[in-house]
Amino acid sequence: MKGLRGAGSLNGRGEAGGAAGVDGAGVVGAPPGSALLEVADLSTWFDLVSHRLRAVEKVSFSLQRNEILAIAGESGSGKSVTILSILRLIRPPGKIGGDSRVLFQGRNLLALDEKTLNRIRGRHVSMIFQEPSASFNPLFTVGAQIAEVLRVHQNLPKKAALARAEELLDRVGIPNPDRRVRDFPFQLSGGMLQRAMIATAIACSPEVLLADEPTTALDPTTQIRILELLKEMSARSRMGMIFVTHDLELLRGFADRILVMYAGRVFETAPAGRILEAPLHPYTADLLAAVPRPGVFKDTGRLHSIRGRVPDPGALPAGCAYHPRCSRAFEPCFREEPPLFEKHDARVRCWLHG
Amino acid sequence: MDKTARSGTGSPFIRVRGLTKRYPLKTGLFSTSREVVHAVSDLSLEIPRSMTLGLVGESGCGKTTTGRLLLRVIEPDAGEFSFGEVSDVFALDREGLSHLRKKMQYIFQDPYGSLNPKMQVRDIVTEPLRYGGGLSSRDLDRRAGELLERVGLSPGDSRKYPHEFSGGQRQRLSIARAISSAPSFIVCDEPVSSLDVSIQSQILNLLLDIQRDLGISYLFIAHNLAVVFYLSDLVSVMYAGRIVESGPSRAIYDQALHPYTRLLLEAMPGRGAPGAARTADTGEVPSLIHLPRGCAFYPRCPLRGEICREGVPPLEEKRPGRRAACFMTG
Amino acid sequence: MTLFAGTPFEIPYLKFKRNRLGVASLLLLAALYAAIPFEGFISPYGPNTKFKNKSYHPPHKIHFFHQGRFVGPYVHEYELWNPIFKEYRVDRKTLVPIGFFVKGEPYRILFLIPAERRLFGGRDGRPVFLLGTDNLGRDILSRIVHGAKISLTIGFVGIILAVLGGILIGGFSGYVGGLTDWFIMRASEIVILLPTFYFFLFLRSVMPSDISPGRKFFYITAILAIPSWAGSVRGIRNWVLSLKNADFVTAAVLAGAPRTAVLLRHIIPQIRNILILNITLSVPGVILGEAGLSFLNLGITEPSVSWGMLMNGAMDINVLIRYPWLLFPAGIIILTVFSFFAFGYALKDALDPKA
Repeated sequence: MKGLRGAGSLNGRGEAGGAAGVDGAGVVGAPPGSALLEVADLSTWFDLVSHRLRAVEKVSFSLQRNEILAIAGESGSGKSVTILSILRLIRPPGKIGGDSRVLFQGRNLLALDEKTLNRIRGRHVSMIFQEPSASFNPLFTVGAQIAEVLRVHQNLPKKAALARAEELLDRVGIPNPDRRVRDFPFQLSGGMLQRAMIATAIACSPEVLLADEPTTALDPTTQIRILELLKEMSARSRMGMIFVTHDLELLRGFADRILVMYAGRVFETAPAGRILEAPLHPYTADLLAAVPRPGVFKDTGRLHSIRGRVPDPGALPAGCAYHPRCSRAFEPCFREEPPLFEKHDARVRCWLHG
Repeated sequence: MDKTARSGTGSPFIRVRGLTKRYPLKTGLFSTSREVVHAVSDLSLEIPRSMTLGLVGESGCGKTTTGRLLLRVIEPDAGEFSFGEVSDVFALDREGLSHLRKKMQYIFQDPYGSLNPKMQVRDIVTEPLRYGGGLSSRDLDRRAGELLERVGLSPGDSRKYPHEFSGGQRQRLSIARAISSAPSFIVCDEPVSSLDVSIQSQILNLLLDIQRDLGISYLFIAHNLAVVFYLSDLVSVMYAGRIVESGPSRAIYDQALHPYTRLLLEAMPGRGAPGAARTADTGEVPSLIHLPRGCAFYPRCPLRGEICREGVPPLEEKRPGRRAACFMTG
Repeated sequence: MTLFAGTPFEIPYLKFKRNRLGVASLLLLAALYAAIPFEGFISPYGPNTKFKNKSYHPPHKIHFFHQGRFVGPYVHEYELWNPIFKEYRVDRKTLVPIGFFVKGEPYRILFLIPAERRLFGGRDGRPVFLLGTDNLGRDILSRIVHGAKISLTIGFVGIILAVLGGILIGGFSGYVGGLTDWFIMRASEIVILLPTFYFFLFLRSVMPSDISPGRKFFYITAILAIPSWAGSVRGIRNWVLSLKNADFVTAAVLAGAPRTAVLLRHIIPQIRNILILNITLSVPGVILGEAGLSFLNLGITEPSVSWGMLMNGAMDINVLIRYPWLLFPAGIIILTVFSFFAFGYALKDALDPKA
């Protein structure tokens, strides 16, 4: 399956000792160490011909069991690179910083040797991607590819694996699974193929599912049904899910917690309902205001627009990365980048809340 | 160049009737297969002057094909397209069409593929003025600067190349090119779908400003309903190559007549959350090759009845100004 | 999100610079081509200057020290010891000092400016053969230097012609499509299927035999270009086909551009990089083609000089065993061909956005 055999750039350095020592990474209020997955000080950069591009800059967050955590951001925010880094799917010239830690079941995934990490990928931590047709090998049937995951990770014999593949196709809501299991990828529509990819990802009942914009390439009616499927599966199996998207509106009624990223940094993180109704960070508020909401027509008024554009990761302004575009920027914003402030059940990187 | 309506006061500026396009399906070098993809079937729409018709539908419904047919990028198999004083754009010969080109323009979805990477932007944006216009190169330069400024870019950038601009800026360049010949009709094919959210609103505002200042009619093609409803005065919904509902956007939003429209509205992020009570939907994508005898929406329709299988429901006026192609709603 | 910062020109340039072999090859080729106008200056003797009693003279060994003292570069005279088998013996008593900027045979730079000074030579006029001589006593080094002019340019001119033809015909074929395209593609396929070398021989055999060297050069060039033309046509036609549906091309059509303008202003400029690559990687084939023809006496013939023609003297294995320095022209051919490939592939890697 595509993407699960990446080239890491760290050599095995043994296992980290538990979650102790991770500061500020967990959800405020939850006992440390109870998180399903913890990302601490993750930094990823790309050494390009002309300069070093810092895609992710010291990002920390944690994922609880049975939680849907959404990472929202525009292009250049570093959201995709973040979850690719979790499974160490970053190839040179990309490199994950030495201080970064991804803790899962007591071990730092970034420090494991490739062989051990491969046993985790697909089995305990699984991933689905944006373009389903690019994730399947066009030369093999869908059933065979799902079965392959089962044979590799659970050593199932071929017949049993195919039978289980058919069950999985049914579970993800594909009609006539007995026929679809023998189909080739090109015979399935975009929505079906995405469901098949989800089937592949949950085949071994992973504890964590990473989803990189899985619905962006789909039509709205299909999109909403895939979201429903994901939500249902996450609830049923108590799986934790990290869902990357650029569309905040999509997350209404779907995500439990939202993390907003900008220019490789976390700008705000809070429970979903809260962020969508009363965002703390000006960027989040601007973003929500800039999108036409259902029921808003042009005679109601002009769309709020954010001036300027997303900064080039190689050319960030001094101080807060958002200040050139922020309508509420004031003195400290120009000089110094704000730290993450804690506000009740949320965190904001903004001087307004310092 | 305002012209009075040619025949009667009720005649809309743009009127399309019976637009049809079929693609033959070739299965091999010597195929005798007669299978055909019915991309667009018997499509009709109207756009008044200086207003926007939003064309929505999911992928494969034929909306992009419709846009390209109107501008004769692809030639239709049947249909009439009256445009202002021109009684049928589809009947024009090569020469007649080239005169008309200046009046109808197109904005593409992909900001990266729609600009010639090896050409300076001043040449790109003035391209529609270049042929048969008789403008000197200094005139063209001046016009290029004016156009750049109009779309919110700096005139000093006119000698730059497309790759020096961001996605949103490139879309502005596309818009500049589209308005350079003072057209009265622009087909906007998903102009903001490839852009970041924070940029989309900038471009949408720009499109609205330009429409107001220059009196241009838009055919706005998109699959993001919220954007379409925001921008459009009128909306037409497409399914399997046909229009299934059309009317003023607000009216449709408040109460959709066709069951497919209702499905789309419920799927709008923010309007219908996942898990909220919604109509059941199999999500089956209609085949454009083997069109059923009756309504193409039948397999997914909650209202379906026997009559729906017997013939394609015609697009007819159910209320003043509201049309729907459905036997079961009134 | 774009991961590249820098214009589409800077990045290939930087990547190319990092490929040392590519850069070295480029410099070498540039030097070879730049040397062509100065062939008279660089070579010690003219291309057809025969030295009596010096046939098959081996390369002079250069010495710097004489009886323990540094005296500058010099060689010993060689005495013809066995006139039948042309064997020579070193006569250590004689010293021929090598001078620089010595007066030598008169020549003309670029056919106009008369000059006499040559880069190096025996200071007192006695011959110095760094690479030995051939069967008629002609200095091989000089002949190689003079042969560069034809060997290096015949390839280039031929390829340029082929590519121009390819643009016209391939561009037209791809853009127009339909039956015309079908016929042109079949025609080019037939040309490609023909075994290249035998095709050369065939064309050569129908070439009139009593023509001036100038016209002969032109004919040989044309012959060598034809197979490359067929490849260019296909390559360019495929590119045009894929670009025809690009949005910016549609935009040009919608702007009212006539078909020729669309082709010339929008489509063809996109293939610039491919063309350069194509040319670079086709030149060695043509150089070898010319070498092959001339080696068989079917290409460039006396009194002109080309590297392939120089190889003609090395045809007989018995001759080669005795006088192995006759193979030096092969060395320069190999070096040139290798440099073109090294440069071409370095260029290809630099232009490839995924590498």
